[in-house]
Amino acid sequence: MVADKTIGSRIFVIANYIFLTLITLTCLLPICHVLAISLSSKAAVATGNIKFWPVDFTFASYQLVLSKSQFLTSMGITVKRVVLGVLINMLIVVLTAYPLSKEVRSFRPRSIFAWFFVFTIFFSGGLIPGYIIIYYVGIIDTIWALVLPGAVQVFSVVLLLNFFRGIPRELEESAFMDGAGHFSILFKIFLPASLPAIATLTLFSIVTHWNSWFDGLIYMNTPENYPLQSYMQTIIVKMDQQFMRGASKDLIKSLNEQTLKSAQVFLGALPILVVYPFLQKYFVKGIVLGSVKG
Amino acid sequence: MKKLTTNLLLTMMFMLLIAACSNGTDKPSNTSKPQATPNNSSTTESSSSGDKYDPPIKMTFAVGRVDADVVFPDGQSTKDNQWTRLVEEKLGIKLDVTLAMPKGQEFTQKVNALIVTNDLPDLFTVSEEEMIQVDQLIQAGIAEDLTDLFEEYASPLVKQLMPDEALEPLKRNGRLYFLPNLQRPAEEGFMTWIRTDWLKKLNIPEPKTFQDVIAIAEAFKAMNPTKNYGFQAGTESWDMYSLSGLFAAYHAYPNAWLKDANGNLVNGNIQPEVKAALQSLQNLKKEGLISNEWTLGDDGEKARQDLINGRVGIHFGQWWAPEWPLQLVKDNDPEAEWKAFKFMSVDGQPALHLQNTVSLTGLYVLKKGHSNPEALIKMLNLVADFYWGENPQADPDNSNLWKLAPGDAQPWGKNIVFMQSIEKALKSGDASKLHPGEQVLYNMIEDYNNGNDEFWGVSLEYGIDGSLGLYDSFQWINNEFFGTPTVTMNTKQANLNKLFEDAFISIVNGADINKFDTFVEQWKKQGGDDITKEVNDWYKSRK
Repeated sequence: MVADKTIGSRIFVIANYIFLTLITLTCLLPICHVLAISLSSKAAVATGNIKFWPVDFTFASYQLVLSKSQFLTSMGITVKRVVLGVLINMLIVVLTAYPLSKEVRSFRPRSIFAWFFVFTIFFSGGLIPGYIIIYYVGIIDTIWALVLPGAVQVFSVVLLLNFFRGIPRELEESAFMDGAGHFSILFKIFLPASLPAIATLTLFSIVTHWNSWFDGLIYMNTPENYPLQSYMQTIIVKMDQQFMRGASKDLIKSLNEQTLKSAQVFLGALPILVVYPFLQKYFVKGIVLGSVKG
Repeated sequence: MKKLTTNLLLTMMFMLLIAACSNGTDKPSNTSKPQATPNNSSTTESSSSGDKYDPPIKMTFAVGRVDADVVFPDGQSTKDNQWTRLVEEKLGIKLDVTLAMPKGQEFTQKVNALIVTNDLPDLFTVSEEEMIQVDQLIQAGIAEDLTDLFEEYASPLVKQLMPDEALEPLKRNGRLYFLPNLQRPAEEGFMTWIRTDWLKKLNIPEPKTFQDVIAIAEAFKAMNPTKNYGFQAGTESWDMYSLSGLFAAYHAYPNAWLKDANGNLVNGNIQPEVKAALQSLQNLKKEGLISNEWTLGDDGEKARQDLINGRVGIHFGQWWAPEWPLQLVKDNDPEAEWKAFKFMSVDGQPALHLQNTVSLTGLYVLKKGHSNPEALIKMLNLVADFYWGENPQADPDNSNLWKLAPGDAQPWGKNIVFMQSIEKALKSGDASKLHPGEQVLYNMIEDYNNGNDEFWGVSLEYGIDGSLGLYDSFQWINNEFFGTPTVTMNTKQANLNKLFEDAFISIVNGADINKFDTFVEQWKKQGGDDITKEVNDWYKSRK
């Protein structure tokens, strides 16, 4: 790397660093901005002059947010949802990807099943039919309405089955010779061999569950059952013309509490920000490996 | 998302249509028959002693306005709160809140879903923006006819708070199918807010005509020519509200249906007066009295920041402008003082203030088929009595629990009434007769008088010579159309709005003023005439 020192390559390296720094900044600065607003006073924020450094530094909005029971309740529900949802997702993804990664020779109806899953990527029933199903299954207003409808992540299944195919056949065959069944092969050979992929998919799953808000709004009947992002959606409304006309001054005032909103946005994003670096090292590797099949 | 919603709505309409048809064949006379049944059932089935049901009856309730400003006091929740407790204790009604959501499209979608799954609660709220949904429900025979129940069971207090004149425009074929949250339209009127500490500094008298206002704008700009400008003008979806005072000065009232000399309704956007107003706007912008960035898609946020930063001294807003956003000006500059004025005109004619004929903030629909439909009216009586009866009470501070009440009734022009009695109490120093809701405001104003600037805004609204007192001196012009959107509106209104917006922007930015005439021609041809005809048909049908 260091060995070649032509001018061209140096310029490239420098330009590359500048480019990457800029990209990093476009990701970091918005977060800084939100953080700065959340730590400033209301009056200072209203002037719109806050950029990346707080003015009239105060923790007031964080105190207020943490004293609000709704925020913490919603946070709890989201955590519950993520834990439950990710476990279910990963279990199903692994169990689905394994048979589908086999060849038609050893698993005859493979194509039918594969198309059956892929079909759902392109077509969906729509909102009302979805609601009707959830309703008649009887899980409306429960945590299951948040984790079960998205239990099968087909995209993840496709990624993982490709990853499984990249694992040398010999490993599997020799395990067979030693008398291992499908379950032993899956859990003792395939899974340990595909940890990067698993980590990646787990991260996908965590982020999906953490960020989704619409299902919470539709399937939950009371705000007490809203996951965090659904709750956030109710406080961060776009104030358009229709809205302004019907709204009371109390509502308009409370929705314009920029500092409060920013504090909640930041707290809401914090857990993901913390988890990310730990899973990230697997991230790149996982996707690349999964897509290059053997 | 938008597309999804439209699809959804189409599906819904279709389903409702089916429901409507099938219902229609069962009971051909939808309007006349059901009124007899509820009365019978109420007298036979309910063994109510006094006002309380024994054994208790059940009623499910979906409330679609639990917004961000509702804060439950400790120990209360959506399912168990002041209102569920009170209704059970006083009336023997077990109110089961099966659904609580903030106001918005999602709630409408959810109610639609509940109709499909046949799981619609007995009582539910509908947003005033969804009158189409209400009319569909009525046509499908899902909404209970409340006319006779209201007549029979509503307490004198409720009838006083919801007089016939107010309910009449909301009836369908003379029948009442929902209970509205009525608001006096006057409380939505706009006024001119002017920074009086600057007036004093510059030694300018208070304005009498709109020419004076423009002169003031020029003087404010002259204080700091590079930074300041005259009028705060956010586009806010081209609502025109932020400039309503300027339009009114030229007797133009865009985005409204006005009655002309012959008693027909005409659209405010195409009237010749608008041309004069646009000409004036063009000049103002040329002189730099309106922000340069204005038409470049400022949705109001930027203009508001300019206001708060002390770059603008004229703001057209409602009575509550002092609490938001003017209070923020005060927070940043304690010297700032504002005062409200009526709209002023450019000629001898008085400038009118536009108001809607009917103003709702939501409504309650009772599903047909409940064993005790009169329970709804009884709950309404209870709510009215709680807030406005002999022994009135107020919600716990800042909780806004009234939004969860199974009914809503308030005095006509509540805030104006409040202001009058608070003003009286402030002058006499006797606060003992104040309503608890007024008491809270009174205390804030006292607090402000003792030097707490936090309540400067409240004091400017409800205090002595408060902005709310100004409404009585206004001369009004009505926006006469309040029906559900007509057929052509549904297909062409969006395009017409776009036309207006385009003409508006180009003229303000310096295009030839005669472009307005071309716009009027286009407007008429591209559906405007059809809509005008439909609106007039609707108007005549109401007489």
